[in-house]
Amino acid sequence: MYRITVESQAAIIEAWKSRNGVTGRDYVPVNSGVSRTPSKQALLRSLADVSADEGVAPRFSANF
Amino acid sequence: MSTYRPEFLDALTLLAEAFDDVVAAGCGRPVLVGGAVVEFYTGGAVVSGDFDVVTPARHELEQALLRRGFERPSGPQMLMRGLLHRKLQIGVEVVSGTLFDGNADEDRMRLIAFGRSEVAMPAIEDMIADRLGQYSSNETGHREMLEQAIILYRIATSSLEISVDREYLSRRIEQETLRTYGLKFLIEQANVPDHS
Repeated sequence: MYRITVESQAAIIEAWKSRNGVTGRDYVPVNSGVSRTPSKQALLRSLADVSADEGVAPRFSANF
Repeated sequence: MSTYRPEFLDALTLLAEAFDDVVAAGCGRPVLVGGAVVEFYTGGAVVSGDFDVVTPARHELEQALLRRGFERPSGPQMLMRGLLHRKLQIGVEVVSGTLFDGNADEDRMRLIAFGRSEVAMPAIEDMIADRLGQYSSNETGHREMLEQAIILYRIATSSLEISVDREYLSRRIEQETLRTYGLKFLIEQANVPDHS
């Protein structure tokens, strides 16, 4: 196995973004959710329910 | 660090501690797969709150997660195999006991430190092949998987720090797409110079 660090990977990403004029974090398309298993759909729904119960915005958003 | 979402790093730190527990129990280190690895390699906001893990030690991992505030979902959603953490609003699901059906070279995996603990992830070549495999299974429905593969490849090939093993990548793409696609297709789609 190779050991890498969060910092080194972040530097690689930031250099690539800078060279290509990329900003923000929405340059990678998220999963469509088309092929999620019933188990995964249920888990994501449950996470959405947790956010609703707590009255807070979801920390992560999902298609499901 | 602004490259990654704080909630993403919080989640990985907690998972790393749980993975350490599995190792301490005498099992191999669980491997993170799926969107979380794409998010790590690209910095893009891909993770939807669910973290996919490969490990044959499901019981040991679940016990480690339960000790760290995870819980089994209750109610009508009993289909779930995963566990969720209310405060972090994340879920963890063991999706397999074997990494990429045994086709991935585990010596190429990456270990990333989070605090005093570590998360293992597949090599970027395996993630590119995995995304293309999902794309090839449903080209209309999984266009985003091709886009993810392209961005992974572009970032990997633009870096002096990462040396993409093209021979390995080519073989893995053919395995994951059942020979529907090869490295040439990816290079064409990514529109980057081929230095092979």
